[in-house]
Amino acid sequence: MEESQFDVVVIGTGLLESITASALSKAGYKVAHIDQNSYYGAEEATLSLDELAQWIDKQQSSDTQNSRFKHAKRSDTVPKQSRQYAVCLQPSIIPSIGPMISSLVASGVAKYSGFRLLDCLTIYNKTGSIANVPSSKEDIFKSKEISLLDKRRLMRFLTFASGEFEGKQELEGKEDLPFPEFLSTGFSLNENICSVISYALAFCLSPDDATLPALKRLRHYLRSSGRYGPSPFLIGHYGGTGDIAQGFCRASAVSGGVYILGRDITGIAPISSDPNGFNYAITLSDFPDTISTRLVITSPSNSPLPVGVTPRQLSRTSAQVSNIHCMARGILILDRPLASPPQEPLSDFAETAGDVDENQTSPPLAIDTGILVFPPGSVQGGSSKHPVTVLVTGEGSLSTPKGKWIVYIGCPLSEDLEDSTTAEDVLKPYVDAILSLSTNPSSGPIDPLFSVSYLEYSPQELTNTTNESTYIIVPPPAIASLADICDELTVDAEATFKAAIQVLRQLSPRENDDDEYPPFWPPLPVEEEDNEW
Amino acid sequence: MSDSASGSADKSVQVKLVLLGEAAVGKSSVVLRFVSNEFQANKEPTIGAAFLTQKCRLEDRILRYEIWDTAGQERFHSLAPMYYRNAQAAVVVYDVTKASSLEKAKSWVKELQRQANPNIVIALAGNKIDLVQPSASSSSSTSSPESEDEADDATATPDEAPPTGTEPESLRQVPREEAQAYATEAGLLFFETSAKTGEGVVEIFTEIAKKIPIEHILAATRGNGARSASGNPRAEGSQQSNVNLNEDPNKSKDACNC
Repeated sequence: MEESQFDVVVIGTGLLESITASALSKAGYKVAHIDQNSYYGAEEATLSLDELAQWIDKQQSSDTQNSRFKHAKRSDTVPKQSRQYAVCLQPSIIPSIGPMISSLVASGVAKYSGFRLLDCLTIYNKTGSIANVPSSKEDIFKSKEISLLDKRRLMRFLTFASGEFEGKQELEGKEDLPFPEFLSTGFSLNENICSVISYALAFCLSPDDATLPALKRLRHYLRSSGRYGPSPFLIGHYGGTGDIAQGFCRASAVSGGVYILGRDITGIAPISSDPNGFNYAITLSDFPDTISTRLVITSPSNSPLPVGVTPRQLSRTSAQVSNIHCMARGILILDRPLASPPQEPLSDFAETAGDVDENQTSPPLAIDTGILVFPPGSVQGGSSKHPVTVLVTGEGSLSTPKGKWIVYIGCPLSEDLEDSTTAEDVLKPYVDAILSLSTNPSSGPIDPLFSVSYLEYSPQELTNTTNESTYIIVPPPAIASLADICDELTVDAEATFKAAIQVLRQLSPRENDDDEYPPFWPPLPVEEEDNEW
Repeated sequence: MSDSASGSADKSVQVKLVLLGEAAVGKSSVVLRFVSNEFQANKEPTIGAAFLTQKCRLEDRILRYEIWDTAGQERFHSLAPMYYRNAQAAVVVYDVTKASSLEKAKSWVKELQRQANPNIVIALAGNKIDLVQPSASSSSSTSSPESEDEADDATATPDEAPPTGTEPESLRQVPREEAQAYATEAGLLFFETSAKTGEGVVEIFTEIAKKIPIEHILAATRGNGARSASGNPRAEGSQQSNVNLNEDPNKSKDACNC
């Protein structure tokens, strides 16, 4: 093939597209990977503070009726050391078992990035304090604060949830019941415990979340704990999701993928009956060659559709909740830490008052890298319907300079907002609550160094599509919990990879094609192992 | 092969080293010479290796170089920030028979100074000196100078084979003194090398090893970045929370476990 001829052109360097490009390169296809941005990661990018500010400004200037990101706002002044921050547009935590981790290891990309365990998983209660969420049966067993009866019920439930519950009598006919209702009616758990399980352990996005998928998620997380340490979750260094996308792009390049960033696509023209089997001619600004390709795989955000093309729209393999179409997001940069709760788990959820906490005398510890969940209705003026999940990343996740913290706030929304309602309005009660959780409350609430907020809408699938097309649009990103997003994108990437292989085999059969699909990740070649000693 | 990958188990210190330079100057060939003491004429463009590792002994210390190749991502200025990140050393390669490749090398040095760790040790390597030496000095070579046409990268720039039979020194387009002067001014280590004969190659890596602030790196490995040696009572616990996905016992067949 000529240098500007490719089997596949992938447009967009988001995580899904990057995983797909990497898998196709490793399967031996010639891949060009294009992004109009000069950074990797597209809508899951990891950015410096300067880049984040520019990104916000760009969303502001292109805010129209159908924009994916609306009401973007930021503080005027960008703090110093901008480049030492790694802020991700799609913050995530990764269960220690699952598609994302398997792909990271099997592709070799795990070697490019660093990972750490989450320090703490905490939950906010109506009294304005936070408590650790027990992450294991041992935690519950040790707790002095949960009554014996509740312990027994909770243990019974966790045994059920970590086992093979499909077809069990407890679940029969209740698969679609709202999960909190299932917990209270099926296992007689009290309201607080139901809330902890639903929002801080199963990461439900609303009280309407159906029982069966919530149970499957919970089982997944319960089984993930202990693999790398006590927490079921890992967080990627240097901003997580966007950095992982970069890693997959590098893996693709190592297998021959060609990377062209920072160029606008000036044209995608269908070619009819090309003798060499190329279907599209793609031109880029500031780029001499016209790129020919058999197949185009593009993120949904690359629009408009080229004239004369009926695309194939792939659907999500799974979606956590279908009625949530918007997420209000906020990012704060702090120079004072949030306090982690005393060590006793669930102490604030006890029905019976516990002993005096011996930790109370020592100053509270700072949260370096952790999760704080606000269940629905826990904050005055906040959402009574949806939980708000907060991720804190600090120096320990190598995403900030020393003594600085990034706080990500995500509030799922199912109700339609008034046009004038901004993400800032939606998040204000939560921001106020978070900023009062300082390790040193006597010096008042924390004043953020920098803050941004925006509404993120989930793009719609296209409807005028055909399964026979050589122009594939990847599944539109779902609004998912931050514990779920990476796994979902990986599963969708594998589906996209398979769809691409199917088409490529028809377009240009290769000698070694057989009936089987090639593996998503072929065994790592020996030369990727350590070389000489 | 039984060493722990963390580099803290013995006295070995892990050093990330990145390669930069224009296409076809011989970046991968220099590394291949260092790592396996091999040379491949007409080497294919860089494909297939994520990174190579090589130990380098220095007095009582062992440095373990983790050498990252650009994988061609520099071609359209699309190197990811991940590439520069935490690199403690860089080798910027140019071709002594191609003046423009030194200019390109200078722009990479600027980029490193902008993007990379401020303490990074940078070495400038003028490669392919076998092409500008009298043939006697490259006696180990049996092939004609055409074989030096290392297609080291997929870049479009056609790399004409140097004409045979001409006086070798006349092929030189970058005088040693000029490159040396630039390197001194910019604070870089400087070498002229031949990946083909091996001349100067090991020296790059040993001189870098001498200049690397080893104690600093050791402290960083222990404390998750020297910057976390803070008063934060959690700092100790924080770095213990770092995990190596490849060290998962359940997955040993996939793991590198080197």
